[in-house]
Amino acid sequence: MKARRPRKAAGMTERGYAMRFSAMLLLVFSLGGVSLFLAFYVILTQPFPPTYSGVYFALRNLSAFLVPMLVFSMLAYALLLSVAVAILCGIAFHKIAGPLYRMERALENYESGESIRAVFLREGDQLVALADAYNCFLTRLREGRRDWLAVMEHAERLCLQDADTCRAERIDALVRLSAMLSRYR
Amino acid sequence: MALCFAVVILLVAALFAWFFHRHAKVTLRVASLQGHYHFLFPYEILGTALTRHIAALSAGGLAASLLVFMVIQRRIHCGVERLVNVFRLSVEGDLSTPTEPPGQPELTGLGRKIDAARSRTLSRIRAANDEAKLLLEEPLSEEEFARRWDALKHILQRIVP
Repeated sequence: MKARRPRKAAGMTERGYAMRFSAMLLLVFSLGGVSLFLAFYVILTQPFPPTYSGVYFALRNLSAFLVPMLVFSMLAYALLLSVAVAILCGIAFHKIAGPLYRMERALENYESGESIRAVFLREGDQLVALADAYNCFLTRLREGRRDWLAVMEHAERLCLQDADTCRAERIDALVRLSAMLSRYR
Repeated sequence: MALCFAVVILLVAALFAWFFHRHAKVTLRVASLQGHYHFLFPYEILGTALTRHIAALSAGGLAASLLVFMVIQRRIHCGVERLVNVFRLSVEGDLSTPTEPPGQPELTGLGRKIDAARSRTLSRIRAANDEAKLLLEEPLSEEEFARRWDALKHILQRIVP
């Protein structure tokens, strides 16, 4: 897993990410349109019969033939494009679903009571702000815990002196500790 | 998400079929009644309309899909923004305001997990604070005080291990 580098993106997703997805959609719809045109072109360039009546009946038959032809071609078009867009969605939303999955695992790790780890995203992942906010929250809590324990350990060091000083320092430490803990609500 | 796009594609394709069929039916009927057939293929009759309709289908499908994408992205953005704000509040000490993110169900589930984690942290901090207050207020013997002091340290060490 690569360590994430700082990025300039201020939003939840990068601007380039939306642009890339839009470009891919444009490509898919263009290819779909061209394929559909080619399919119709092949059907509609079948030559008419050489006789007058032949052309007349060919035109009338084509009108009747148009409904099943359109239904079939549209179903094929919708199916192919849906599959293409589904693959595109899978690739594109993987960059969003991945960080969400990692966040879920991180929170499960948080709940488990084991050593808590920060969230690191892969290169190109979105939702950087969410992972940064979680890591910042963890850092702030760890800093807080370090300060609380530092207050208690400072009092313990002074316990090497006489018992009265020890008790007084511990009481002082408890007052400070209580004040520090009271900011959490 | 892919289902939303599939519905959009199916809808646009159905609209294309409807309009093209309506147009082609009239055009072919008019052509058949002309009497003088100066065309070799049906494409010569329907080619322009077909090109126009396929262009409209592609443009309409693309526009609708982009709209769906923007809506999905907006929903994700709103939900994640709420989660980020909750973490910012937590950094300032607010561990009790519920997350309740709007948008995708995945974000709602994540919000519940975040709330559970914050709630657990807050309960540990409160337990530590209560223990500190008890040590301050209760007249305890030296041994009891030392024992509870160590217990308090243990509670603090369990916060974000």
